[in-house]
Amino acid sequence: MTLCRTIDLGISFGGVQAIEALDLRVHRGEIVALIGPNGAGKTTVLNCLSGFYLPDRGRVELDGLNLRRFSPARRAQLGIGRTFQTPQVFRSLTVEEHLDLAFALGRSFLGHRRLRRRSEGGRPAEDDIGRLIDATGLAEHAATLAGALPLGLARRLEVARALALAPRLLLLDEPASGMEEHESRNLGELILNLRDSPGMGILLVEHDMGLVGQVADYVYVLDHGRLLAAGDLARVRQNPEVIRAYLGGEARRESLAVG
Amino acid sequence: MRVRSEILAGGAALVLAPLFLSNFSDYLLAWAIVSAIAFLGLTVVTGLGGQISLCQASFIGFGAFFTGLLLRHGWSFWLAWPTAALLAVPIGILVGLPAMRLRGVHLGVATLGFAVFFNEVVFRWSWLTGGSEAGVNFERPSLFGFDLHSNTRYYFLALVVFAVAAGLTVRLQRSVLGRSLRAMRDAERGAMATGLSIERAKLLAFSLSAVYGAVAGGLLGPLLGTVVRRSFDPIASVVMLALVGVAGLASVPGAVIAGLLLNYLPGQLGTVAGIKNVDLIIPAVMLIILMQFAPDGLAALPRHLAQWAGRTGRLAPGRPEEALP
Repeated sequence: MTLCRTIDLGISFGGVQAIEALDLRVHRGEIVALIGPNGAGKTTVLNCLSGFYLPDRGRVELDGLNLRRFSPARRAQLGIGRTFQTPQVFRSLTVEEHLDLAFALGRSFLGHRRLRRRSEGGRPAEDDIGRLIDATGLAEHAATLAGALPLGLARRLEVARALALAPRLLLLDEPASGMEEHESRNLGELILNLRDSPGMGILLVEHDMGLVGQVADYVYVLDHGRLLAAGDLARVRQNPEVIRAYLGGEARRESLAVG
Repeated sequence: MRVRSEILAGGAALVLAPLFLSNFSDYLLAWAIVSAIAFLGLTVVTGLGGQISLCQASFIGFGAFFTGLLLRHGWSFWLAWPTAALLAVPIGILVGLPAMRLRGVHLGVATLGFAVFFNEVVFRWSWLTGGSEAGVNFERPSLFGFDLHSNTRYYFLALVVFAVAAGLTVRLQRSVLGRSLRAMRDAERGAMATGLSIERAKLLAFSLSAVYGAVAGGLLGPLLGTVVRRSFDPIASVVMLALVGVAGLASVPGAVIAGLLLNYLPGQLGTVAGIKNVDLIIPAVMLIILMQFAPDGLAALPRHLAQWAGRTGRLAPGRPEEALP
């Protein structure tokens, strides 16, 4: 069942077409990867989905609802959680306070209370926060200020904060960049575990083909804002257009190889 | 709980100070505490929320003039003052509106624009100010027959109001709003992605800061006896932000220190030592010193000193009192 789709999505910045006529779908219970060379427009897609950019053309739908009018904060409350390439954590709040805030905003005037879905009312118990902290491997750091976390943990905190919104759609922007190989594999396991959350879909922007191969059910390849190919990773990797886009030079063949 | 004992010591010092001070010093101290209430508004909007606000003195002026207006219409001070404070809410929202679109220096310029508008237009409206450039006159009120005319008694009124305002500020810091403001200050995009309506957070912060300012303004009139437009000009607002930035932006002690620097110290230096323009010299000198030695502001100075002493090995870190002679 389609959870989220973009229809004929297009956006340009100062005459440069960043995304062109993009149709993309994420189904419930599915992990979709969005890959492509640098500057392909991957993060721009995430920004259009989460409301940080307003597209010039086309639209974004979540469960059939046109999101055009909704601000990033309202989209978050509607169920779109996201992380950022450079983690946007709150350096003066602890890990626990991040999740506490995310839960609290869901029932506060400050978080568009009226938009809350009725089905998940009620206060989040303390152990909801504890469970999230455990699930994201942050248990030892619950009382640590986010400003003191190393990059890898800050990324995990962003994932936890997004999950605290009980999202329907989770957007991950290069969660493995700057990580060691074993860290990235751990992260992959975390993401795979998330697929068990009922009804959630994940859209992952990633350069690390090891991680993509590990978790993705379906892959979209983007280049210069256009869709080059779609399918499972093994298939798209054979696509001559994809190889050409990625290569540019022989040396970059590696970047397509599974790590 | 070292921090708590510091606050207790500070509170005790403020309560006991009149015992050791002259009548004139009580007057200056009351002035400093009234200003500290207004500084708490900057603690919220700039310290917690990270929004540059350059019109805090305008809010004080609004509180003072509007209280004066209601007093001229025969209102009791105890009714006029809270009414003026409540009416500051829409004023704060108005000032906060540009914050929807602007950030940093641009927002600073916009709020400075409000300060100019208030000073050149609003505070010249004769229906508001009584139409006299010589200023608006106030009398000190009594409370249930208890006379607040003396400087010492008025100081204690200011201190009680400050204590309430400070308590609310501390509660606010820990509340959802306080955390939301800190989140917005630390990473605005992250806060949006967490579902925070930054529009609502900013408007709330600005209206709270306006209320703190107007509460201070209502107290200021009866304290000084006469209030003039010039006291609330844009430069006054700029000096306020600079001072609280030096003294410690996100803390209650920072607001007290800023109040002392703004009104107590210059008064003492001006009358005792005969130094002019101290109100401009102090922030400039303090800024230079603090950028060098205590980048987190005066409120964090004890911690810095302890750390510094610990590093040099002369004092045990965290327990500096043991090694003192």
